[in-house]
Amino acid sequence: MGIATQDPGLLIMISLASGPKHGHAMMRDVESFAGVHLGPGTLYGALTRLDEGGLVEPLAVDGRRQPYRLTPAGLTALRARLGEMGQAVSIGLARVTGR
Amino acid sequence: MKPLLARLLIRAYPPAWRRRYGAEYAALLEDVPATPSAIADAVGAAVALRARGAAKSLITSGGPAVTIDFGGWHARTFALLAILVALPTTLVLALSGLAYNLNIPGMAAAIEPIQRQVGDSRIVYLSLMAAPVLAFVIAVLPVLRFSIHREGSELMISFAIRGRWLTLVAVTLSLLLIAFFAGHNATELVFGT
Repeated sequence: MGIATQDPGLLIMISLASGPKHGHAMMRDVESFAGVHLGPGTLYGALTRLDEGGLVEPLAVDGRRQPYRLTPAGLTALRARLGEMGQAVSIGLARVTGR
Repeated sequence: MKPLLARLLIRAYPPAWRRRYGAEYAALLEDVPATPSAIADAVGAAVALRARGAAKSLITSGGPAVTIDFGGWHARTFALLAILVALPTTLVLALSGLAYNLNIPGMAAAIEPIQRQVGDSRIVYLSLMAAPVLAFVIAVLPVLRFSIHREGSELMISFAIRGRWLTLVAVTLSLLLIAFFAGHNATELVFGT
């Protein structure tokens, strides 16, 4: 998960791929699947970029918390990104196992 | 973290961002513990968002590119703080004036121990001299508005001051004290007294 930990936006999109979540739920989820603690500023900085880029969108407010979900464009972008990473990982693994 | 701390941290973010995300971000900040790393992370993100906004508007034509606006930072509180910073210097000078210029009986006895302390310690003397400068900076920063923006191919720099009466009091007081010390030091330099 080393590559992904450098990219909070990617971690957020992976988290939202399992369903809509608000900020605190994303933080907990990212910590559980990637072992990365996203600070509140890092999370909302990345979320702002994703929202402006149309990759995530807000849903109706739940109390004071604002849930977000992936947009269709966000899902496509996430698939493409994970595909690229998967390709890099498989090439890398093939090269190291062949040595 | 406490709602007050969350509100303070959110004030560091760009106004447009606060309008869009402020309420939900406040809810998140209140959900997380107020650890030094969480606070540093929130402040770092605020700086990054301000820098990003500035860079973005510098690239697109028109509109302010770099705006340092302390207007929302409670100018009145800063002015009060500036007056507090300048207060010891003001008191020492006022008491000295009453004692030696107006010769008010009993005042010299009251000011002498303080003057001895000031005369004996260079740090105290320098602190009394530096306090008005610090007070001036504290009073002025919150009311300054400085911006660089692009108009066509020209890069424009604009500068504005949004005054408040208490700021005026603090600035006037600190400038008078600075002028006094400047005059006093100049007299010492020229006449050696």
